Amino acid sequence: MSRFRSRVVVPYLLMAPALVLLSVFVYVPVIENLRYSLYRWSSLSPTWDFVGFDNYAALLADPLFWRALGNNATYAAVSLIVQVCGGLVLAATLEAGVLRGRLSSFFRISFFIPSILPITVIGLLWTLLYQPSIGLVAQILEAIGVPSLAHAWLGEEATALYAVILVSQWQWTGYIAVLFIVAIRAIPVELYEAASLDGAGKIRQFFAITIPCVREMTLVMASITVFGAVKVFDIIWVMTGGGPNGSSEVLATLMYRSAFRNDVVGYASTIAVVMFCLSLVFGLIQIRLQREQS
Amino acid sequence: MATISIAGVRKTYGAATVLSGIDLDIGDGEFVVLVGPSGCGKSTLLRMIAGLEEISDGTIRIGERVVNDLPSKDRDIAMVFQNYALYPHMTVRDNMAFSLKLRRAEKSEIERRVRDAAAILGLTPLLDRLPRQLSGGQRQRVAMGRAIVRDPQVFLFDEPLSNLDAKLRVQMRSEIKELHQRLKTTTIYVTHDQIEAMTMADRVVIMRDGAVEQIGRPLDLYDHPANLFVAGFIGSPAMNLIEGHVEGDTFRDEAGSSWPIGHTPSEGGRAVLGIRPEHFRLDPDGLPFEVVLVEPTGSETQVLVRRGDQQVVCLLRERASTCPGDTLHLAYRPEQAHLFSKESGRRI
Repeated sequence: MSRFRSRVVVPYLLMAPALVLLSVFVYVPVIENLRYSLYRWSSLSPTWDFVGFDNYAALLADPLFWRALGNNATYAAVSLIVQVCGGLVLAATLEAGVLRGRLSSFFRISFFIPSILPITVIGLLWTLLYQPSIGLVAQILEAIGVPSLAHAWLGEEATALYAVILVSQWQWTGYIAVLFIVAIRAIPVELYEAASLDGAGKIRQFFAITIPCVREMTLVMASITVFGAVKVFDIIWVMTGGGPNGSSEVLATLMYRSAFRNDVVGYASTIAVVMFCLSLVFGLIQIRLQREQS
Repeated sequence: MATISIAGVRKTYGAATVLSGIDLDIGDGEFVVLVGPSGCGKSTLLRMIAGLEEISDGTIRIGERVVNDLPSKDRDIAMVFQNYALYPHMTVRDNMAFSLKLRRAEKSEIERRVRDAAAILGLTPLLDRLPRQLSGGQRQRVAMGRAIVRDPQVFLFDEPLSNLDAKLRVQMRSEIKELHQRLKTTTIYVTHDQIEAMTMADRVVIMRDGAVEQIGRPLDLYDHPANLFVAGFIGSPAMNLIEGHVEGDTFRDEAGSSWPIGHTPSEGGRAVLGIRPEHFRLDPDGLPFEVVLVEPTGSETQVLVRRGDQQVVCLLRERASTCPGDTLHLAYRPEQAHLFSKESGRRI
């Protein structure tokens, strides 16, 4: 009996607190949200109307939803290229001995600092930088003799999304580079020495040794970046609020607007379900890739 | 194959001197072992030959070329690392072929060389495995295979057996030696294990504190150590070193006991007498010693004995049935005794 208790009962007892917390704060809300998405209701409505999948049909017919989804995809694609690929190149460059000693440390710290700043500070700072008349960006363009390239970066439909995406890249690329530096430092230096003796130059070493050896970290970084892109909200809300004219709208801002501005909570829940499903799909892909690697 | 000439090579890190003026000439096809305690600079010297460390001063030539400023890849050398340094994501075949691919060798040529090297090292059934699927000995062979396929002028080995267990180390030692006899490529091998040095080398370079203590054939070092350090370093168990002074053709230890030395040394005064443990033999007419400790190993018996205050180790081929407290009569041939100056440590 005691052996049964120690092998079967004790593990469940040890996991119970975490399971209870997860259930109350994650699994139950997810299931509840799924239920909410099947009703038409607002925060003030005394009754909920069961509408089945009408909210989903309305969402699929909403051009703003597709625009927001596209913006999320753009955000994810740019982040994967700039943050993950760029972060890896940055890390490899800093670790390759191109910059030595204090200069390397200076750049590491400089790249990392944006990631520890509050998002509201960054949002307001860059809003000022982008300001069309007194902003630094406009002044620089004027100083280098191309004032015609200046735009109301956050005020024009063509540029608003990319202007915000650029800020995210500025904020997070250094952070990801620092994590890649940790992974690169775990690669035995003898591998590079052996490759050097074999005749591989620095670039060949990057492709033949660094990239394969940090594959696991790359996968984790790519996953974090994609998850971040699916649920991005704060920087967009602070800088553009999804505008102008929905040009920088993403799923999270659309959901927030639907729930707390338009008070169509069932519809907002539907958007939340879509975001959950997207995250779930990417999560399953990540798990599968990690299994294949190991 | 090539000769290697090292002239006045120094290595400094700021104010710290790691190598102080190394001179060494290595013949074509020779197997030279650099041996010494940790931190003596042997790996640093090897890495300087490989081009992995900058040379602070002096000249290194491989063949006729001065290679001081030549990148590693242009030195035509191959190196086997202590931790093997196999590319973890590549199969054995790809590990071995990597350098040839970089040199844009023909596909058929790459395949032939990899196949030949694999056959020599018994790796043929393992060619499609990843390094993590191999044992330590197999990984070691792959590391050697990777060096062989390049057919370099010089092989460099940096403590390649130190991660293996004792039994495998002995086996791999023989395999490396056999490989050298087959390929006859100039080889420099770094180790801190004097048994490896003695058994594998054509010549041994003994280093300490960034300097060469003695260079010579293994048995020359064993028979004629140039100084106290070499005398204590070469041989296992280590040579017994007894402090005392020389009076004519007699050596007296600190307690006044006399020890035969067979010749009159070039200088008298304070000295150190060295006698190898294996040079003692049981002899009823020998010197009397009190047994302190007996350690039978099967093939031989190691006995710690005492004469006055002086303890010495002796290694007896016979199975001595003796116990602590017994008296053993031991002798050695006086011409096998070594004498060193107490002040300079040099052989006298």
